[in-house]
Amino acid sequence: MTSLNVDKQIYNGLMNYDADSKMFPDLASAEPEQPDDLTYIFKLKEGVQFHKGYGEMTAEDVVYTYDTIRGAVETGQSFFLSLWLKPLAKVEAVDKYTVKFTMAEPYPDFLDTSTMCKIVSKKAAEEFGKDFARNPVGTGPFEFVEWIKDDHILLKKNEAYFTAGVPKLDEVYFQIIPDDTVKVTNLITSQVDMMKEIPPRNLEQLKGAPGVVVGQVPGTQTEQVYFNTKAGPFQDVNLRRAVAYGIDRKAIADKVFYGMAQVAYAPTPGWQLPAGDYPADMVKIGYDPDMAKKYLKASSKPDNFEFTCMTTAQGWFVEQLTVIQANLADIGIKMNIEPLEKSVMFGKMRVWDYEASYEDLNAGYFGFSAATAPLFYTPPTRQLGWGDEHGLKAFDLLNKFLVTVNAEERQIVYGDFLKILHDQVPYTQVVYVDSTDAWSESVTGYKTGTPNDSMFWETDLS
Amino acid sequence: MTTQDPAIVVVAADTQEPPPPRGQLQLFVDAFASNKLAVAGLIVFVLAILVALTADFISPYDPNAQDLGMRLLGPSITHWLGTDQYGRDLLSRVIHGTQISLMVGVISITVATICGVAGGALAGYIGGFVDDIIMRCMDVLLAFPALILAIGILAVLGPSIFNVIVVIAVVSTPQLARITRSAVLTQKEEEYVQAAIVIGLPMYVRLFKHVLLNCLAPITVQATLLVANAIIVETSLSFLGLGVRPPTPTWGTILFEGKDYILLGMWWMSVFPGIAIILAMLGLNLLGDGLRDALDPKIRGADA
Repeated sequence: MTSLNVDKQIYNGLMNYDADSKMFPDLASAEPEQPDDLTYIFKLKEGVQFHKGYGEMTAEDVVYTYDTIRGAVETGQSFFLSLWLKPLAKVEAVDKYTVKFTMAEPYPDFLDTSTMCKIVSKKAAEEFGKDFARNPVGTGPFEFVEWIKDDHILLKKNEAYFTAGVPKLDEVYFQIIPDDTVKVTNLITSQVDMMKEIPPRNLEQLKGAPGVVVGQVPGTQTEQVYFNTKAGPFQDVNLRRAVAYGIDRKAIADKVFYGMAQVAYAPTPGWQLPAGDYPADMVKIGYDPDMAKKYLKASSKPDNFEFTCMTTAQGWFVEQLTVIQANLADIGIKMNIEPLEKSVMFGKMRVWDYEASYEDLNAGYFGFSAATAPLFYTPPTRQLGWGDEHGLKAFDLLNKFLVTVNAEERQIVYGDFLKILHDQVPYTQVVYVDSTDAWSESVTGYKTGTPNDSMFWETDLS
Repeated sequence: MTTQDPAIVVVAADTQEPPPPRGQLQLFVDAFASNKLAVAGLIVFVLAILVALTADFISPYDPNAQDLGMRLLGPSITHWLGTDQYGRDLLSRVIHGTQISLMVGVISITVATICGVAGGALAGYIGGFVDDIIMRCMDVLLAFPALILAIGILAVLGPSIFNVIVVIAVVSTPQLARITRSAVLTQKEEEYVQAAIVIGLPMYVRLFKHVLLNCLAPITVQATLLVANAIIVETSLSFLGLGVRPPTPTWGTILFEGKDYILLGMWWMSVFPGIAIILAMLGLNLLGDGLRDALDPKIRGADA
């Protein structure tokens, strides 16, 4: 269960996606007016109330939200979405219900980005300051009640929601169950009504369980190896290539994920790219032990190369790494696995105190046109330390992609980015995991979607 | 003279010394051997050590060799205990797990015994200020539940076999120090120790020869039971994902990897390492109890 799933119940964006990934005006009363390529004028719905008596949602709150995310308001916090608001030059309230956005450059994904920027109450955000994340106030169908860390999050119905008949449920209780077996058993024995992220080994079991419905669609969650390009052995590009070609991705998709994942060749699945597929001339880094051995031989450590790959102790990462470990042993590379607490691992990545790490990145966090997800990792200041000429060029290409309007041109720019990525391999993708949920037959009005899953707006219990 | 006079032979027999009284060691061996449960415990422990020492020879397969085409198979002729989710032979993994689990248990408790006995003996024998400093440090360690302390230390050090050994040694030392100190306190008031002081024997002789040698019984018993405890701590840490790193097999990691498959009907991945753990625990505890009974003259007398 990710925090995003909870946020979606509490907040609305100006625009939003439904479970079929169709965009619709949410807090906006209609699609924005676009007098030119650089300007978007949104009319807001009138009379939308924030939770807990924080008053009516107005243009003021929208301006505050966008300025906070892009860093124009000093809050002492930084938001990863700021990367996606770089083309935004100005946001202003024209009147109480009208907001005008001015871009510095044409930005074709702006509406998509507007689904991710969830509007918060300015009054509440200023009142709570840094504690706002613990006391969220939005306009969504559910209102935040409490969050007990590592135990549960409780939301209750927003009686004053602006869409009639929504939501249907009185309460949503997100119970945090770290153990896969307990999670699955709780669903089968009807202790819970729904579970997120089916453990792959339990997929067939759940499909066959009476009274259980399984939802499975292609996902954007990308499992990948991150190399430290700033310090240690993986400054040598040939070692990075050797590892990338040494991973049997199909074995991981078929055996660790029981077919609940697809082999990955790029940071984003092909169907999310502007042309609906990978560029035709893209290099597909796949399992090729001979190629791996060739690069290993050409590297600075042709013999007895040994490295440590850290990962999150919970979840399916160690299982994947155990297969990769055997793959690499076949070509003469010894990989040690270091399972760590998630926060410890990211802490080490932040200070470049690692050789390689294994984690996933859900490109779904970056909206439906998730092609820009790699932006999150390519800036030279980010975890990979990929600050050489290639890294800077890749970063520039991604920023160019962001502001290129023509779909064909976009695909070409993206292809250029992928060429650098596949040549330099600062990180390598292994599989895309399908989006999955399982729920009890008594749940109605729910649909598994990518990336807009877990919307409980229409969901009910019979 | 070719024949002996019968009368002389009889006299000679009469003048022979009576058989010497049985020594302490003999008494202990007899008492231990008469305790069938203790002998069973010893046999299990010795067998486990033999399995650990010969692991590389008796394992039918490489414990880390994956064969993804042969995964999750139940017990069969080719794989006696079945295979795990990577197609690795479970029997080979349990055998090699014995090696790691026993090694962690024995080495960590040996280290803990050396540290704990040294600390406890000095504290008990010298007393006063030294006693206060050493024992208050031990009290601080004892104040934390062992497993919580171990998890805390491992979170800082990171998971590895060496760190697990260090952690178990640290959490076990206070218990040995306490036992040693209390035994030393009793012994040092004994008259033969006072006599040794009077005739001017140096302190290290008194401490080792007169005091510590007589404290061996409780220390041995405690150490044996702590080995069992160490194996459980190692298993628990591995089960929590904080123990040794994959793919190294230990009973705890095999159990941990198997737990998610129980509901899917693949019981062998959890049951066999579980049986290994139960056998080792039972063996060590029986051995420890047997040692205690056999080493304690009071209980030994009651049994006889």
